[in-house]
Amino acid sequence: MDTIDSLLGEADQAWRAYGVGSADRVALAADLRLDLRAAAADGGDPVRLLGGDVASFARRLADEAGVQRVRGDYGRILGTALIGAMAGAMLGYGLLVAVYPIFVRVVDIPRSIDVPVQLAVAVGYGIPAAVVVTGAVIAVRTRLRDLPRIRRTARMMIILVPAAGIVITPVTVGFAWSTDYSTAPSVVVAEIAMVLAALAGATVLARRLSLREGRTDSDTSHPEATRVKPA
Amino acid sequence: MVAAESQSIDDNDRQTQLLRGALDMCLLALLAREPAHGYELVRRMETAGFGAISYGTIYPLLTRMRRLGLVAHEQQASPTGPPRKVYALTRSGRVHLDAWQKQWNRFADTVSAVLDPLDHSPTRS
Repeated sequence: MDTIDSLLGEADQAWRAYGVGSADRVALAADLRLDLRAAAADGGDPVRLLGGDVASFARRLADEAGVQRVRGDYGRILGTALIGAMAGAMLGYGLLVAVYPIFVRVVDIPRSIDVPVQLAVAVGYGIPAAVVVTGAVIAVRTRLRDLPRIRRTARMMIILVPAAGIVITPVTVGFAWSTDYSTAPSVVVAEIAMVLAALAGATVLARRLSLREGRTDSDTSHPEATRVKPA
Repeated sequence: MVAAESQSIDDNDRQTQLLRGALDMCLLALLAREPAHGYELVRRMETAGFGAISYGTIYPLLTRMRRLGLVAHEQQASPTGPPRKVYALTRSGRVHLDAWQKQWNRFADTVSAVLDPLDHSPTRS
């Protein structure tokens, strides 16, 4: 990788962190590459040209180019989703404690009916999981409504978080099986970490996809900007 | 010695502040004389007596002026290297330059008028 590639890589990281969309990053980098290569051909050292603080230069360039910035705010989204999920879990547990005896009294399944274990598991675990996911999505949607594209993020979460839960459940069960369903603290912590990592990953992916969707090149150039008309 | 260094830092700061308000106008004026690519503009600014102004300062400014339609660029093949983006003034850039130049002249006259009497007035020690 040559010096210009390395500088552009550094600038790209700064643009990402600054919330510059991929289309704008590509356009800015292509323009800058052309100029740096021309300057280098004239004997200019690209590193010296941009100065020591490439990130600062990149941010200033993005500002002057007038690109639209949308920040990921992954930390806020993850934190809010976790709080929402915990609230959902507590609410779900409370509802279960309150409703379960009533449900058992009202719906009396005769002994002759053999309820498939898969259905029992789906109902027993699926409903609480749905309540937890709903809590996370509602929290993100309502508490972070100031963030751009948060509706789309919440919609993506509705699809991706349950999907991640469905994928990670057999993986976690497999892990538990491999440890002979050990209840040792380290095994339990590992199982919890696997589930949380999958759900967090799905949340981050939901945000990333929602930012990518519909993101177009900012209108950063004047209609006449690429036609030289010496005055 | 320390006082001289401090004076030099102060001079540089003031120079930077003065330049901040005039840099875009000066770039337009240089481009009005002859279209140029970014690195060439850095050299022209230095030759004009502004000292070393970094490419990192000029390039974002050119980007802004391009966005505002004050300058336009085209890629030109170079016999010695890769193609270059050569910037030139647009009609709108010319109009802005004329207006800014008048404004600058008025401002400079006002500042001069305020500063001139200082040459003759006594100072308190």
